[in-house]
Amino acid sequence: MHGVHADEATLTAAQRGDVVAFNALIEAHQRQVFNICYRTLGNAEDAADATQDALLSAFRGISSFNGSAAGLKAWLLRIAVNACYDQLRRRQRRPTESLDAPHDDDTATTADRLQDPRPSPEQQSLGAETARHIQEAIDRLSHEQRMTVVLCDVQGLSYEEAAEAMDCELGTVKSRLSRARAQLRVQLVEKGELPARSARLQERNP
Amino acid sequence: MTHASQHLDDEVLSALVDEQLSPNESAAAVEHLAACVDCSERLEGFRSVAALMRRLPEVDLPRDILLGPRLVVDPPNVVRLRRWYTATRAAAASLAAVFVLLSAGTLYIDSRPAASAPAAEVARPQVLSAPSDANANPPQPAVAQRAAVPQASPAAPAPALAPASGAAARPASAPQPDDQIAATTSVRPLPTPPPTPMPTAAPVIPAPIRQVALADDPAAPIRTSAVVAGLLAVLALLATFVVRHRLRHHTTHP
Repeated sequence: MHGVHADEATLTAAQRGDVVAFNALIEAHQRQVFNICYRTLGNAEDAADATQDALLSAFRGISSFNGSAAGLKAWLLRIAVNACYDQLRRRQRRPTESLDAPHDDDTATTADRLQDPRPSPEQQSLGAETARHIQEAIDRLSHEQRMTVVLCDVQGLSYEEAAEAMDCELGTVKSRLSRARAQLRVQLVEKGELPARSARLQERNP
Repeated sequence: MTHASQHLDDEVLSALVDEQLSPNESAAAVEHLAACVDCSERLEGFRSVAALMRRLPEVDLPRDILLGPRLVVDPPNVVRLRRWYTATRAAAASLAAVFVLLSAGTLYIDSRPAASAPAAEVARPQVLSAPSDANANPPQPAVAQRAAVPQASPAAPAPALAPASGAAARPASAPQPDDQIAATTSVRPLPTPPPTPMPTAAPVIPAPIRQVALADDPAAPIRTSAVVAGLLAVLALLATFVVRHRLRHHTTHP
């Protein structure tokens, strides 16, 4: 209860232009925002740009946010999704770089430092090679499909949350997700990350 | 429900992985799956993709992403505008200062020879030297000395002195300040009188005063610089206004 009141007070302060209060509000979400951007855009540099754009427009728009502090996350995710789409569109206008060679080790630039953010310790179980293959597969999906699969599968959002973040119908989430998964499966089988046939079913039907 | 029921859509299978089917849909799907190996395998395919995606590691924020208050307050374009505003404002201020200093310098140099002469004498050098110096430094003296010489319009004396040059004409007036005042004041109503005393006086040039006339030249570069500084100051001021306008626009309508 106390925490809720504190959140509302922080929100009110942020809406009056208090930057510190705003930072406090988004602190809990900026990691998720960055991760959505990172998986959707495929590299840390673009993800950093998109995250920054998202947080800036969130700050500019927070005075017109009329939900409660509890609804802030959904609102922020929607802004993040739009920032990602903007970044994807921008990249389409100046293509080549990140899409075709997302993990080119030859270029030792300042982006290099950003290129491989460290995974959190608790989740290092997935091999780097596999993670790279998955990311490459995601990068081949359409903008909407990759956004959906990132929100639902990578981030584990519910269909409802994803629909709200992408500002679309629940049915749209369903169909985008199924198409995205179907395509991912083909690619991941090609890369040897998934078996061509389910082992369990193969046992049953020799 | 029979064995022959249609194969399940990708959408249904995918939703089944997430348990997002209605109870009815779910029951129908499960029944079909029990009898259909193909669909079971496809379901397994969706399930494995979803499971693999879920294992993608979270990444840490690069340190430079964490927003400092400054970054949040000022988006990049505003930061840039603010920088421009400071720069143009500083430029306008310093150019204006330079202009004032140089103008003061010119004024001082111009007034020095006439220090011992009456007030009207201060006006004379400007007016008389106008024809000869006109090309070198046209507008500046007007700005710098308008206050001191409100009525010294260059047009009036110029024709009278054209052949004689400023150096020749000025000394004539120096010994007779009273006549000189009369001359300047009478220029407008009566253009004819001034020419007569000037040429006649011209031959009688005291040497020290001629030097004073020559000393007008050193002031010329300063005067030119003052003009340039003044113009640049105006330009910088205009730029400042433009930048400030845009800055205000960006900060009030983000």
